[in-house]
Amino acid sequence: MSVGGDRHLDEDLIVRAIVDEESLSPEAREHLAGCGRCAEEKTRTEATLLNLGRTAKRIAPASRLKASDIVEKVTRRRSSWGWLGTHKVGIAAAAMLVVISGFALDALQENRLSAVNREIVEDARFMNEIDRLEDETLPTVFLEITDGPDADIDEDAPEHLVPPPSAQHLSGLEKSKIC
Amino acid sequence: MDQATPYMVQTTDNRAPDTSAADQSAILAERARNGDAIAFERLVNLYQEEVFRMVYYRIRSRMDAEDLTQDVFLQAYRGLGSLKETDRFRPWLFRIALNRVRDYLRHKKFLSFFGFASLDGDPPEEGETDLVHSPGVLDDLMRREFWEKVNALSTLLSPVEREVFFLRFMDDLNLKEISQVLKKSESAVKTHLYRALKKYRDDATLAEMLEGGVQ
Repeated sequence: MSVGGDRHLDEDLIVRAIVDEESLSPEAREHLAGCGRCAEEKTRTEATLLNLGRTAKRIAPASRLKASDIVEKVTRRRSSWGWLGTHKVGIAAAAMLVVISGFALDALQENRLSAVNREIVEDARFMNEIDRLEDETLPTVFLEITDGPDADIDEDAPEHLVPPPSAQHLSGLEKSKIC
Repeated sequence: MDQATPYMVQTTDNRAPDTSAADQSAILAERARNGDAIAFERLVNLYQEEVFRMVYYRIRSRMDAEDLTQDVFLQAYRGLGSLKETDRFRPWLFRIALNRVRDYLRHKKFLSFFGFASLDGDPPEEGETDLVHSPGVLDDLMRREFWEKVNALSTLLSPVEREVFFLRFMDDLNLKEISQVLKKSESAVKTHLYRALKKYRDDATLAEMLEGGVQ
């Protein structure tokens, strides 16, 4: 700092005085109050800066907004969404309910599907058993005698054991019936 | 509306002599916070020009500044309940405006990256060139020259220095209000302002240009 005698406030002190005169030391403030040159330097800079703001204000376009329009828009937007605020808890509960019921429905549907699938599998197994029984109607012991289910059937063997009824035999039977 | 309510008296010419604008705003903000739409309308009346200009200085587009001003008041209306100290209404409103401007500029920067928008302000619109006192081409030139000077000054400063400088000298806020807008201590605001002024004073060309041009 350079104050006192014929010395003046330096650049830093002038700037500090513009920012906040209270921040200067009492000595510097006293000098500023009594020194025309320093006071003028400060005032000139301040005036330029204040003019900057004044000019900006003067040449900036005027707003076409009307306070009443702003208020109307603000309150309308507020009221159109206002119900959201007043029924916040209800809306949240409803949303939760929808989500939960969605999950529950999914689970229910899944259970139903699995039951149907289980039934299909059971049916298939049952049909397989029927098919097997159709193919292997004789007990296992007979299968062993006949060399298994795939053994060739000798068509003459049963004839040898049980002779087929002859025409004579049949006519005798019919005669005895008539008598 | 009850005509006898105190703020109705204060907002007219019958304003109590010892009631400052800040006190008046505090009363109106208090009432608006309690759901008084007329009090809010009076606040809009008091501050809409100021907010519009503040936004315009930063984005230089009248139409967008009008939209943002509306947004600022919408946000203020919604957030009034959270305003604890109603005597700080003005800096609080400026803070909202500043945040909206930042969002806007960020969005514009993003669009300009993809070539959808220009970072410069919009060209003057029809109504923008109509100065009340002296319309004409000269005014357009003067306006352009002025904003060029402001831009030149802006480029010298860091973002925070620029904001402090603008709030102090363009928007006419005091140090306490600036500290509330920027949520910084007063001493920090003074430091930024000091640095901004030093840069301005050190750049002789700019200082001369401003002194010569805005007198």
